[in-house]
Amino acid sequence: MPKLNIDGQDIEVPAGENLVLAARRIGVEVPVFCYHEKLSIAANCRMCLVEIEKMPKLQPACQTVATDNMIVKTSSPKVIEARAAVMEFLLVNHPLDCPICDKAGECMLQDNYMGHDGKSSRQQDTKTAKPRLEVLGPLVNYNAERCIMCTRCVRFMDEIPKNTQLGVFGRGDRNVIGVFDGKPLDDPYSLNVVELCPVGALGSLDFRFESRVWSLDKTNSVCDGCSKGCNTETHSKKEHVYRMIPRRNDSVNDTWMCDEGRLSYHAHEEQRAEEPLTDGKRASDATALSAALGVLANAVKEKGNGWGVFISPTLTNEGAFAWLSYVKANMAQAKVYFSGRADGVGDQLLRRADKNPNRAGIKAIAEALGIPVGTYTDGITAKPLRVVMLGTETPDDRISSIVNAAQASLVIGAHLTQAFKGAKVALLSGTVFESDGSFVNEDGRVQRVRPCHGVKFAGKSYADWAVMLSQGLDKAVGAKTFAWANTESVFADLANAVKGFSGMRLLGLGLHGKALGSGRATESPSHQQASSPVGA
Amino acid sequence: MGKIIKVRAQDAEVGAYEKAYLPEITKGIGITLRHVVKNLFGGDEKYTRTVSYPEEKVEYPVRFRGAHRLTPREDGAPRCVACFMCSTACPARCINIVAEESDDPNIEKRPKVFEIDELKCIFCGMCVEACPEDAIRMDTGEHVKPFTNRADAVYGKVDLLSMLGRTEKNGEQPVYRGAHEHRARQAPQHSPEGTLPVQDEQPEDAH
Ligand code: SF4
Ligand code: SF4
Ligand code: SF4
Ligand code: SF4
Ligand code: FES
Repeated sequence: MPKLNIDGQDIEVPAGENLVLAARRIGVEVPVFCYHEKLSIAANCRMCLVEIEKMPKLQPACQTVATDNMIVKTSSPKVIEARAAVMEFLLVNHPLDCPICDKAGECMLQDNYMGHDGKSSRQQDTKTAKPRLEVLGPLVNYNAERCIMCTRCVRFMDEIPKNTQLGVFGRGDRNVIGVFDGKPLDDPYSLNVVELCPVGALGSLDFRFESRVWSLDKTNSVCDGCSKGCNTETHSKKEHVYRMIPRRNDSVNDTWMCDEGRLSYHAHEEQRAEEPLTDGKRASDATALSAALGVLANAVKEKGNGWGVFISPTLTNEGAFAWLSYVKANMAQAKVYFSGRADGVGDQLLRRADKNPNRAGIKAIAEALGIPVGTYTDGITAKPLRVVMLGTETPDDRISSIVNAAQASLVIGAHLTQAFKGAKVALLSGTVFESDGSFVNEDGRVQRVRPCHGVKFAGKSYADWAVMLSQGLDKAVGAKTFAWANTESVFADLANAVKGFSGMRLLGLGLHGKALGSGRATESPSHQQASSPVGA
Repeated sequence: MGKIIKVRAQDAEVGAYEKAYLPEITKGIGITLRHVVKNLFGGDEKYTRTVSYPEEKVEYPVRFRGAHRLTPREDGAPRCVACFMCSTACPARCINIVAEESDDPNIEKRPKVFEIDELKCIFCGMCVEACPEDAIRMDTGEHVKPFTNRADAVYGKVDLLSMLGRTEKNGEQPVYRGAHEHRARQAPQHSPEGTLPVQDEQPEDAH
């Protein structure tokens, strides 16, 4: 454990830590461009220069390992002058087209200019002109004029997805980042280079010109694209989600996220069910509700005998707990099966083949309640004649045709899928962007999803657990009723009933979630700056 | 103008002369008559002016901040690059912009929708000050036209572009200053073999 002195303060840091991280421990932020905690060190931008006693020249803090007895000055006159000079060089050919640059507002060049330079340009010669709109791949475009050649993007592709698709071409002021002949940047993790890029050189074609970043409201949530549960920041404005970017959680996704997950917000707005249906036709709320109550009253009367319940692993823990408790209390003989999204492509990095976010959570809850949950293929053979279906996604048409052929069926979900349209009664629930609740990822981490700022429940929909209470569905004739006031109270009951959750509170899950069974365990290490932008 | 001035009782000294009423009222009517006669028959001494609005208009002072307009490029397209600086600066939140890709790769970004709700606007001029492109001005010298329908108070891109500034109205050539003047140069074309740019000629007209 080397002991050193930074800006007059003595500190002890773990062996091998560099000076940027060491300075962060005492609250000193050394400005950087090319350095990123999760990538190898290139030390090519020289923004992080610091003065170290007994060293003849300034040293890059990102590449200098803290050693015993070092005396480091991060803001001596020499350092301040050097930083301003670095900024001036970086800006020599920079086009300064912030007004049309999507990075403006979260650009490290803007931030570092304001913090460490602030002078006007002395450049009198013509700025180098380079290509401004190079489409590198299906999702990423590149503006060579804005690039500061930090090589973060190149290092990311080499080191994280280990798919060398980007390289530096040319020399001097003519060098550019590019792809290799005939090989576009089409890696499933390609959009990570967009946040990684400290400036606006790499842009997302999905977000291009959609909104200025400062007008977006940011919500810390979790991606529901697969069972990995990458931590996200969802950016929304006036009822619409504009983009999802990864949020740092070293126990789940480091600072990365897959492209499929990022773009999953589109699917949530598409094909949205806006009104309840009976027999596939629009129905007033009252009609649909009384039809739904009728279906449930029968189920209760028959104690679930001959009934099938399809539960989608896209439900939150709260939704699953509420409905499984209902099934246990009122339809004990019903058979419960998983439906949900079909399997997709998985890999070693983040993407998982199971595209449902909460299978682990629902399994834990069902186990604790003593309800066996079969896979959907069991459901096909058992052919339930009367169905309650929670969540509209189905892995294939077989479940939909069971629902559509059933004598009685109640479907609760958010999208106009075949099962939803063919149900006797279909009621609305919200999507992951509208609901509060929690998911358990495949590694058993309980993580909170939060409703996005400004995004309201579409039509007459409710959170999946609240469909039951707010609409009074638990009041079907003869049914045992429940009394939860809000998502926290459902979670509190859940924590009492299910062992892995005991000791947890929904609001106590924090930004990084908690592992099942860890109860009141402490939050993740505090120097992890979860809410800071990923580029930083 | 019916202006009400409240006078506290003790301020007015009402003596017997005032209480007699007639002498004071005659004096008042006398003043009024003097002005009427002067303005009807006074020739050069006339000083009030009646304008037959709207056929005839009084010109507003030069510093008057009236209706906004969007300034045009040479080809008539708006100079605006949809940077949202104006809508960010606007304290009344009355500017609504939707951006889109421009056909011209040297412009890149342009407004698809640009609306100002003149009903919400407080005519503070912040938008004009914020604009890096000199694309929005309040130099029309006109007030917002009366309307009977709220929707008519929302000026769209076409309305805003159709208005002229004082300079144009006086037949002079307007001078606009904006950041994108620096981008007059052409971006190099992509080489057909790959993504390496062909860069042998430096553009001459850049700053
Ligand atoms: S494109 Fe961005 S991340 Fe890549 S080298 Fe240029 S500035 Fe760095
Ligand atoms: S890996 Fe899974 S959880 Fe992560 S972003 Fe992709 S789909 Fe979402
Ligand atoms: S004048 Fe003021 S209130 Fe009106 S649009 Fe401009 S900034 Fe907004
Ligand atoms: S500030 Fe100027 S260029 Fe930017 S959006 Fe407004 S009018 Fe257009
Ligand atoms: S040289 Fe240290 S951050 Fe770039």
